[in-house]
Amino acid sequence: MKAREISPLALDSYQRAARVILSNHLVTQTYPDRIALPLLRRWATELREDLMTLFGYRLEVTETTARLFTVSDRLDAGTPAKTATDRTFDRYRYAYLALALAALGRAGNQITLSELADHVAADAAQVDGVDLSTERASDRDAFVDAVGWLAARGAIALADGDAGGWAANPDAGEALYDIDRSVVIALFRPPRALQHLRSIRGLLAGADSVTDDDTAEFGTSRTVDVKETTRRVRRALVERPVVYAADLDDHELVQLALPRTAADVELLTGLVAERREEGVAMIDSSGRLSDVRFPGTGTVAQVALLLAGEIADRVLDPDTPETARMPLPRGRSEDLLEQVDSAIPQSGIFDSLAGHDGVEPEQPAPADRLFPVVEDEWITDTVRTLTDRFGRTFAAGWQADPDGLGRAALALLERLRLTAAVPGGVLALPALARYRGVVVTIRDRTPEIDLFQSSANDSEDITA
Amino acid sequence: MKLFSFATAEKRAEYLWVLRAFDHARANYIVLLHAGDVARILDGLAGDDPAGQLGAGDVTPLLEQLHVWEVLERSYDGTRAATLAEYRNRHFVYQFSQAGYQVFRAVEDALAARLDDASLSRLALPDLLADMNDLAAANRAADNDLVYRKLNRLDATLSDMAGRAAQFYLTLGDLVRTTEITPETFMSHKDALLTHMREFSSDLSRYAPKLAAAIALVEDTGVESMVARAAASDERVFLDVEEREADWRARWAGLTHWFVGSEAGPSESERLREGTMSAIAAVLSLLRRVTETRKGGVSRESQLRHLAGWFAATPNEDAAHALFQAVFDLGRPRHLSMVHPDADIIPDTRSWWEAQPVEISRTLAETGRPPSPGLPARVQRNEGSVRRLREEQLTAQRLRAAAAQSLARGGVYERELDESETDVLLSLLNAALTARVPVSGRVKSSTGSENGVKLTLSPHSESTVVHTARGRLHLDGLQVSVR
Repeated sequence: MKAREISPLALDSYQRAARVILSNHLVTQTYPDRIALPLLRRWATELREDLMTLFGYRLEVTETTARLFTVSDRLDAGTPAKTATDRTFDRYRYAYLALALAALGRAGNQITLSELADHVAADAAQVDGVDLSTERASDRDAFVDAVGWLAARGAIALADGDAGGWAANPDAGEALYDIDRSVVIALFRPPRALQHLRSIRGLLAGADSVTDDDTAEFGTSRTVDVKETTRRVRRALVERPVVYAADLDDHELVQLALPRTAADVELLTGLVAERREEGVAMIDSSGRLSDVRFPGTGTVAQVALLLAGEIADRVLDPDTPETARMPLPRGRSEDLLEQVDSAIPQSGIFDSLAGHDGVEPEQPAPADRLFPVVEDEWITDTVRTLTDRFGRTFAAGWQADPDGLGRAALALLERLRLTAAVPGGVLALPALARYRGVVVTIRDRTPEIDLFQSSANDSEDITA
Repeated sequence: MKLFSFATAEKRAEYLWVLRAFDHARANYIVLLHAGDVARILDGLAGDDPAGQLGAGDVTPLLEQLHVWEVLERSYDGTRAATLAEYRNRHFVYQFSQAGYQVFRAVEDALAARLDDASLSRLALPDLLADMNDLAAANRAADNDLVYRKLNRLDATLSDMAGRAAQFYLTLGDLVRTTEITPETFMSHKDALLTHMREFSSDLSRYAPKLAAAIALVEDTGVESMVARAAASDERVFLDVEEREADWRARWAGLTHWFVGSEAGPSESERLREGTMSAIAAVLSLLRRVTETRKGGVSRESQLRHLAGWFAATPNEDAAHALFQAVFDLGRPRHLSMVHPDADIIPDTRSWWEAQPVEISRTLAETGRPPSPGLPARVQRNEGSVRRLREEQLTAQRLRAAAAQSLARGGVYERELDESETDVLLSLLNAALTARVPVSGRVKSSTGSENGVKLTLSPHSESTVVHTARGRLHLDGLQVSVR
């Protein structure tokens, strides 16, 4: 590992470079900022080797882009594309994005927004279920969102005009873009041709090992590649907030238990491993190697933090009856796989070239670990209580909607693998306990008015 | 026969002038013209023929009509636009289509009824060079016929080159300026393009300096006499001698301009070479675009269309997000933040439920805002003691000033100085002696001033003595005066 040979003084810069590429996978001259690409170029050689050794990721650095080709072990719906205003992409925006990339691939050096829209509209006419009509404002908005996403990543650069004007009125507004070909190409480079896939599994790790009919027979008894297992564990460590032992099979558990596995990731990224009985969490002190920051700012994050504390209290409280326990729910990834596969346009597949992407479904890990369940009603009540107590610091929109707030907070906790949804409630996963005892006494800023209720206020204080 | 429509149209004279402008530009190896360019060329070309007096606004519809008749090819100006307005107003550029040029030549030839230079020598720069040398020799030898023949051949060779260059840029323009590119159009022209470009750039770079030297040689033998000789032997009997001379002079000027740059700009051959270089870059980028689309058996475009359909068919947004992440591979990892303050003391085997929780700022949990250092605290000031110290300082200053005054009044010698006066004297001396910088020889005198008085040290023949309250102060070879 090259990181060991880097002097301690330069290690910080090296880790910064590693974090930049691991969190973005694509770095251009302008994305995520102007200093990122020079930094990566400085460490390109060492990073290329380390990323390959540790994770099996391939790094390509060219004059204008740096691209990390990763290996994904499972499907994850957790990091969708976002618009400039942080709204999540929907299906149409994704489709427009794909078609805009296709149009940009054959365009010259420059293109206007309306020309691009015409190309996309023409292409969309050939695709079932996609339609772009520049007459409709909603279509224009969706298209402009996709174009904005491309512009943010440097695939196109605004030379003149503005896209918002076009979206508002296509007759009056217009925008001119310079096209950066290398970024356009780098954005979309799937490891296998999509028309050769019968299942999205073909893009996931391990797809190559069982595509041959010969090996398919022995698929069940495939040999365990220790190096690959270690890489898989390291990939989980660097990508997921918490790696629970309950998620892993025996071979992976062995690798997770080795101190070196996490230490290598720590050395490369500057994350800090927190090792507990139930698993390992890589804690990000820089706040840069994560798409969400937790604990973070804002009402949802605040309520999620308070709720985490309440849930932990509820689970640990000796006075209330013991909560029910359940194993981790499974099949979320499998469900996603089925949903994604069900959408493959069959007409587009090249039968002669399409392989059998029959990767074995993951062996279910032994379900011996049980986690406490917290019921939905209790959570709803708790969020209401929290809203009563802390409501005046909440964003106005959330104050009026405690139920929606509760759902948003729970969704955040679930994304962070601190809880897991089960029918009728949520599982409190162990890493949640990091945030015990966060419920604080609210400081009273207007004691004069509150002459007779101060005692009542005290009684509500909860301290862990 | 719509190609010939312009010859019978109502504005046939205007059309002909527009086409002549193209022909003129083409003779100067400029192939692509804006409407504005055409108007500018006509300005100089048409003379006083009323049909040739066309502005850019008049030219545009004529060009459009000629394009419709397929005499002219139309394409976009391919240079990068800096602003949207520029891009939108980016004029079409026009050039002769192959057939259109033939038609124009036919019409023009029919109109002019000139003797056509029938024999076109093949593109050969070495021949040009040899001819040039022969021309110099012939001119020196005053061989009229030979001069004419050589000049004629040079002219023909150059016309051939110009023709090829025009054809080349026409084809290239077709290819590079289109926004849609198919591998077929590229493949069909690729070999011809590459060969042509290679020949041009290497031959030009090799022969241009030699040709320039040869032209200099010819010009040494006398351009005017050469033109006269060529005109004398010219077979074009319908032109009178002056016209023939003017024609040959113009041709010679064009020929030299080809290989010898002037102050106005680079020579045509250099421009052609530059054009060839940028054309190579354009073709390479084209090649890249073509190969990129073809990678992996299925084209990138069809993959993306397939993907668009896939996205559109996903049963829910989550599936779309998952597909996006799997295909684009841009995912961001996710991690908890807040490192444990004393992580080392918690054993690895302890459960999260039993390990100490992390410390969370009260502000964050209470308000959802990041903890900040808050407003700066109030500075502690002890006004009383500040005032007391200040008063003490002022009193001391007053005493010192009084002492300095009395010192200045009473002089230093012949009396005993009191305590405060001594202090003042010593500090003045200190200042004066510090200011004294003995470099070489004797220092004349030096001064020090404080409290509004000035002390001067001047050399004295012997030691002087000052009586002070603390004792006697001996000053060696110095005299002190205070004013």
